[in-house]
Amino acid sequence: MHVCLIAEGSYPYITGGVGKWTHDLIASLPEVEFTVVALWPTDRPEPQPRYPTLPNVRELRTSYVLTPQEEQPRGPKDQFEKLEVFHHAIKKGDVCPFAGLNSGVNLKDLKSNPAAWKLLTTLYQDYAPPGTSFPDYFWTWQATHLPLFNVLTSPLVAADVVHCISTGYAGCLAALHKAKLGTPMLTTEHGLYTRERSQEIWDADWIPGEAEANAHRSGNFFKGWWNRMFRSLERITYGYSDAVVSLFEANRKYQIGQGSAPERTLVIPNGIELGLYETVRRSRRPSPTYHVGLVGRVVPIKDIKTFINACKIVADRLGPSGLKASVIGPIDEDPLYAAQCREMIRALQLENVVTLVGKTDPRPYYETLDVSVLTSLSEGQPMVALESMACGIPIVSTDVGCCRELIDGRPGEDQGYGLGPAGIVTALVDPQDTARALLELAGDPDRRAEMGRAGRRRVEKYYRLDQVRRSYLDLYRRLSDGRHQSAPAAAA
Amino acid sequence: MAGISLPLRRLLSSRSFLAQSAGYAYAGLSMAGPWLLTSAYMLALSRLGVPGLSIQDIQSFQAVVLYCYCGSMLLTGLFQLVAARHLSDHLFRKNASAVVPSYATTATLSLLLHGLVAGAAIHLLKPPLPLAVAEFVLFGAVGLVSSGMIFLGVLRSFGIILAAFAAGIAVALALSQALAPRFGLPGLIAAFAAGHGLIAAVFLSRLRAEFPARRPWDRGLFSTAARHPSLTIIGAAFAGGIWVDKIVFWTGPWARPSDAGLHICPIYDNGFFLASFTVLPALVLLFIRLEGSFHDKYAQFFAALRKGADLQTIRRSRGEIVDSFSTTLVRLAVIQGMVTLAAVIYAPFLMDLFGLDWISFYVFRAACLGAYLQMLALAVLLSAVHLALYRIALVVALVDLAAGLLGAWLTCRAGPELLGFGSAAAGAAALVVGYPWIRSVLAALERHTFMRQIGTP
Repeated sequence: MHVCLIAEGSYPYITGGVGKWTHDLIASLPEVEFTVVALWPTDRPEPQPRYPTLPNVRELRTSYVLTPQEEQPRGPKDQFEKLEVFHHAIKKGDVCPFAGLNSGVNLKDLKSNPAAWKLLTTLYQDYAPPGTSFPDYFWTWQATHLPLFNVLTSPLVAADVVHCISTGYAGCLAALHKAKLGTPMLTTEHGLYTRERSQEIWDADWIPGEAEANAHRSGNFFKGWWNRMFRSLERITYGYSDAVVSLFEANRKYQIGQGSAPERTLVIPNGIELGLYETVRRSRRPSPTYHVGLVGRVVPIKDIKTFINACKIVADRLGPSGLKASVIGPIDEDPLYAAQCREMIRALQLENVVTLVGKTDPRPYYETLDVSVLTSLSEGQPMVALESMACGIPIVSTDVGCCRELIDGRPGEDQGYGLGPAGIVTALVDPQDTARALLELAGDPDRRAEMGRAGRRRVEKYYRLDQVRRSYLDLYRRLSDGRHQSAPAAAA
Repeated sequence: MAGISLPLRRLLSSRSFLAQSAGYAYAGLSMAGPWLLTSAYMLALSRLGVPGLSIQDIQSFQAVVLYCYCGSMLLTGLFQLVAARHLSDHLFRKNASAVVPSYATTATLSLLLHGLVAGAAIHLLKPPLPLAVAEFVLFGAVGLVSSGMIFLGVLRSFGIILAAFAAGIAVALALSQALAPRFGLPGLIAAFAAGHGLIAAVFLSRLRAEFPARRPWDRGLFSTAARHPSLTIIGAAFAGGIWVDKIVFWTGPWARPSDAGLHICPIYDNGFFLASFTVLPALVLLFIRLEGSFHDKYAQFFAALRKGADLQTIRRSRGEIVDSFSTTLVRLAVIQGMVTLAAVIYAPFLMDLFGLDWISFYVFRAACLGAYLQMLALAVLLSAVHLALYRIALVVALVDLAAGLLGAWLTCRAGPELLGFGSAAAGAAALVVGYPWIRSVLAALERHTFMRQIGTP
């Protein structure tokens, strides 16, 4: 069995989250050979893998989406006409013409062929509001499309199954494998790629059109364009996928809502190797000081600043010696944000309370943590929550991804067992609410222990790695066996 | 490019006939003032003579000047467009302190090149020492003047150029009366060199007064040359295209040596010299159109891009550039055509007036036709350079040079009555290649402007 696994902006160059999940999946399936296609912004600086190469990884290919691929064979004469047909179709939700596109666009062809210009101006006239700045339109077109052209020129991998770990560019490349080679396609989404991009787009100040949008009290056409492009990639990914996996039910419903055929969607939650945390659980001992920890990267999406602010409120209530807070995770991925966090700790006089530990094995910390905290703005199904639960540590988490499901139980079956809550769910970007939950648990060790036991039982029952491993192996086999029977999944 | 100067713009935009006429006269003097002044000086020497010098000496002097101008134009052509582009880039970035260092680098490079070539020529021709020294100094001075004209031309300081030439020619004339009787031909050449030295000094002092510098040199000139290698070739080919027929004829069977040891071809040079004046009205028109309307439309087009205009506005701006270009070509064709026709009709009269022989009559007619076609080709070439369409400019210049070389070689062998038709054929060939090409690029200017940027961050 040979699987082509396509990861965008994660494995093997980013630790934690999706990267760790991917590494664990590959490691847990030694009987499957993987070719990993990593989509990464640029080759300057050249990215360094953060994970050791596993023996069942046949090859690691890295495609740089922002580096122009000059040397490409010239496309067929009608390639730009096909692109125009595709553009009009995708706006109506029809992803079928994607299969007819040429897989690579030659940059020289793009520069010199009048048909490329005709396509660009036709789309401008058809879709841009009157008076839209054409230079802004051109640069946005280039910014949105050149990465796509680069991705589509990546050499295809002949494999039994192509598995993308998100929609977006990765999903588009996987769909190309399905369209051109007929390779069965599997999509796994941890968070919701399009929704995360959408948040970034609305926050972006480098996208033009804001002044016009304010002047006309309308939406920003260019931001809308970025969103529409990612939604189109999502549609293509869902449309061509033979199976679409989400980590929890809410995301599955979203996927169906966005065009995924319901019978092709399923939930496979994350799982962890319980044995790895058994020793930790047994070694857990009370900390002399109330010890709370956030295991995660020091990056904006984890909202470390809300955690620091919450610690300030708790420390003010318990006294500086009554709280110990640790942020356990890499601090080098967003140096500016990390510097801001350090400055905040100094300004709030929390130097003796909050420690940015850096990248390290979190297990020694799990031995003394009283509460595991997540203040993330977005999550799928955070591994750190599962690890904390496996160790019997209660969780205080924002209501993102499936954190509520992990803490309160899955709808139906799980809740019926009456395992009880494994922690407290809090509001996003609300230090007061996070602090309230931490203070609630600070004075109630029995409740913490009870929540810890509930979490441990929930993980044992629903979130074991061997279950995940079995599910994916079955899925790979089923897709591979059905290769020649299954009809193309492309649908509106 | 900076567009035409404000005084000229004011005159040309006036509805008064007198103001308009003054505008055209001003443009004419701006474009051709130095040329007219130098020609007047030469004519004065021929007609009035110089005490102590024979007519052969004066003809030798004219040959030396002709060779100096030819050599200097060929050498300056190597860096003329590069220096102009480099200076324009500095001015666009409002980097006024770089003007003088750029000029100093250009002038030094020019002096080095002129010195090397003059040294080699003297080594080959072995003229007497006083003549060699005078020729060497004159060639260097002409090189310095050529460098200065590049810079003052870009800065649109035509008044300074004209004033400097007037002063320089006056000094040359005065000194020639003193030096020629005493030192003969070398004295006459030295007087002319002194006049050019004065012109170069005026240029330098003007630049230094207007643009204070913080450093002596500007090595960025060489980076510009490396970034735009085609500019060097375009400049050299353009200058080569102007002189190639004359150089071929100087080495052909109709040439004869002057007393200074330089070969000239009087049967071609005289007719051509006279015919070249016919381009003056078209040259003025080209200057006004290219630096006025065409420049303005071009600036509006890029202003529309910078301001983020919609596609319709950008296309409208492009249409205006195309209209301006077409109008320029049509007006040039009509005006230059009328002048050429008149010159051909009145050719016998002109021959009588200037005392030229029958063969010059044939050359004059062919040269008038050549000037007509070369003028139109020049309009295409300059438009291409103006729009930074260097590939077109390069091909037009190379076609003109190659066809000129072939035409001159063929006509040289065909007979004296056909001399000059090679230049006409070269102009026609450059026009046939360049015009449809630039027309098609202009018709899709916005496409070329945007799409060539694909892949740039």
